[in-house]
Amino acid sequence: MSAPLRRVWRPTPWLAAGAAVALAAGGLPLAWLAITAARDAPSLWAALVPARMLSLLANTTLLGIVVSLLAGGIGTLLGVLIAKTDLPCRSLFAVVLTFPLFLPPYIVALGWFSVLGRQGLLAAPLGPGAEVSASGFFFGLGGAVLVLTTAYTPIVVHLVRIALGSIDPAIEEAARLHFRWRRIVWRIDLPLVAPAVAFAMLITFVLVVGEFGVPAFLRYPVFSTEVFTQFAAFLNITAAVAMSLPLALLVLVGLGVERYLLRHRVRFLARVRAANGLRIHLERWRAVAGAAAWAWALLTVVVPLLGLVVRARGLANYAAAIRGAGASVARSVWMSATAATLMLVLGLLLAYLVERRGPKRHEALDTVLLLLFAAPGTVIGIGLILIWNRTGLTWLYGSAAIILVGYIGHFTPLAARAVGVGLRSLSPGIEEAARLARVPWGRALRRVLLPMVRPALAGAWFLAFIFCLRDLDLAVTIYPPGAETLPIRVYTLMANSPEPAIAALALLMVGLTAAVLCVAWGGLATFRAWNGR
Amino acid sequence: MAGGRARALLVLALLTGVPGAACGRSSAPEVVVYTSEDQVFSEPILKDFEKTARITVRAVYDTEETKSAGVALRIVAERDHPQADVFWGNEPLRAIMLQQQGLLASYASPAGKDIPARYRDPAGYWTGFAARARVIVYNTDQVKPAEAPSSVRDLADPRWKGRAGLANPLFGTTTTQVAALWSLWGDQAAKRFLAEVKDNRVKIVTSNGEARDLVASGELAWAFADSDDANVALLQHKPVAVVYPDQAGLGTLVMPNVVALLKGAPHPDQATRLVDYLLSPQVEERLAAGAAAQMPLHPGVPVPANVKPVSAIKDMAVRFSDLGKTSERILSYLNEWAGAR
Repeated sequence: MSAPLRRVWRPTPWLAAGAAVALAAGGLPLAWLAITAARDAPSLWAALVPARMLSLLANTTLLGIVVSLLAGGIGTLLGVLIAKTDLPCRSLFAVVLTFPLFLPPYIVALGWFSVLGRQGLLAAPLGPGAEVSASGFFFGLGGAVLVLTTAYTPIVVHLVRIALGSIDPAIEEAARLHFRWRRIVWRIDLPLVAPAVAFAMLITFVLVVGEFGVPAFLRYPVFSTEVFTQFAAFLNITAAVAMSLPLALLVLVGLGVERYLLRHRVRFLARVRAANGLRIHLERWRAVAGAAAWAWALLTVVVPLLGLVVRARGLANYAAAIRGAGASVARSVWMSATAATLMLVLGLLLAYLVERRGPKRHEALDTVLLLLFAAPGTVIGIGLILIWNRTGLTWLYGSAAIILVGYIGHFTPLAARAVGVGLRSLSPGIEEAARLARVPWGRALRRVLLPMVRPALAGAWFLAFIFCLRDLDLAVTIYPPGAETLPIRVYTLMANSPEPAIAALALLMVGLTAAVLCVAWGGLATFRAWNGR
Repeated sequence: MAGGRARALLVLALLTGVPGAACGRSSAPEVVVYTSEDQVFSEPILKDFEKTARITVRAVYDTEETKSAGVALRIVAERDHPQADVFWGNEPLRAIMLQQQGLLASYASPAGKDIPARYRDPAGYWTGFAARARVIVYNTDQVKPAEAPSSVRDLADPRWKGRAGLANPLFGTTTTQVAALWSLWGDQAAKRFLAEVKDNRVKIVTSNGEARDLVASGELAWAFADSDDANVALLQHKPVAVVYPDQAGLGTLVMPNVVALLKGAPHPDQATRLVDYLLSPQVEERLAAGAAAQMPLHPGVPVPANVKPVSAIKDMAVRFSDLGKTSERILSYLNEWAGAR
């Protein structure tokens, strides 16, 4: 490489800075905790071998695998229906399906409780026998699978949509000359979106094995409830760190499975706008597919939300919810938006580092990032307290900035992976051409790569925003006094507050998130139109 | 040009947003309180203090599942650089554990001098107010009053096999209750009793609120809960009734809220004012009059309709200061007991 070329193409400082910020935000607290725990090695070892370790491992693994498989299968099918077919009202369908993702899973659990509890919408009218059966199913593995599958299937749906949107239409066009649409979907589209499906299932698995609120509510013992117990009941940091180690191992196994399954996958080499991609006309199957898809949405989304609406009763409860939670709502929205924007920048740099800087570095960095995402929020929160609660740093620890640091440390890996899905679909030849044309790296990134991965960027921001907005475990551990977010307010107010007030607060969160996302999408459309003029 | 403007706006938003996050504090006098009292009850009282004292209150509230334990954990984690001024616990045990870890400062508030000595730490590390009782809540559709459980020992009675409930003994007032029984009965009898409870398939639920809800919905015939949890169900006209257990035997556990000043509190003057305020008869009156229906400890404060006055209850003869050490000793056992279910 000639000297001038090297001077204009210098991504390393940017990439290194991005990685350093993201790893410092999330990795430093975990490293600090690990060092703290390692100082007391005998206690660490003793905590690792409690009598019920095997049953916790079995429960956690079973829950993670069942929910991932269900969400992967159902989400892929729904994603294809939304992205590739003329399903009736598919845009509205996509919005409806996404609703549970807006909510902390314990709210979804509350919604289902209002349906399947003994006095629930569904169980009560069917008589005492049905009440007992429904309730017996709900409190345990069955309920946990139901709630978490409802909550996390939208992740698969949206990542499949993003990946399908990134497929080069020329490939489908060529195939269309010889094959029917079923074969094109089965033999071309699904193999091409397999990395996205596998990633979405991995994310689901990671989220499920780290989930605390739902297993605790449904009395299904898993590792995360044990970690929480060690922290909260025993104030025992060493034991809590020890109980987090099996979680990390489970995540590594999940990651290994993902990589094994995708080892022979061919990556698609080019990408252009998919506006003219395959559109499947379902014809006589349209009504059947539409009815089945909308029945799913009705059952998994509308029914539990309806349960909340019934509980919330009159408008006065909504008015009271808005009055009491106004500041929390504003705080949740601006903090999530700011964190999501920062994470998008960092995620882009990390994704570039992972996807474009050699396979060994790819796997190592990718693994570290996933472990950060998989770490229980409570664990990261305690680590953040130990690191940032120091003389001279109160301006950060005592303010909302500590939550932003936590969000960045915990959720940037998600943004990086989502952007990575888009980057992976682009041929490195595009950048090579820019580099040989002596276009500076920053400009090539802004002018060439970013416009081409815009759907992935939007998806990454969307995911990061939602995960920040609904976060409870991390924020409740570190939130500055007097600066509670909306999920924290709902959760802390649940104790002895009237049911209608809690239901109204939960629905307020759903409505406001939907409104913010509508504004974001509207703004994006306006921006596009403005740019296109 | 347009792209440049958009980028500039984005940078501006970040530049204004992040320092906004970092500069959330004002220079007005403030006090930081960590509380495990239900937010629905504590928040209005703290707002009133803000208005009357003109001191900004910044609060951290606990969740129903972790009652006391969550904010206590945070106080422990922040021990090298305390952020909180005041700990307002909904029961005494966690305050005693914090005291044992050397995290509390002594302050004998003049507002607490009328509180009976049993509900105060002799060295002034914590002071109790506005008490609750550990009561039995039963479903009136399933259980006739004459057949209702009346003792903690009913948890082990085969008559109630699979139909009774108890909140997780690792958290909140259930820890206090089990520690009190342990303290009264000794190790062997307590372990035997808990083994019988396990054999009787008593449901361990996440919180007292959930235990009450499961009783109200008929999923459980009865459960232990706190008197304020029970009162909420009574006010909502749920099919429940309340029994003060063991009035002919070892007594009902009566637990006050506690307030304590934290060692190294960043705002000690404002903190003592808040402590004095929380220990005032007006606050007890407020906690008694609302849905919380807590039992006043100051003489002369009206007692709410749905609860008994403290003086009319045979209280369990345990010393709170002993319970701290007992609970530390038994928590590992309770963890195994609860987890092995």
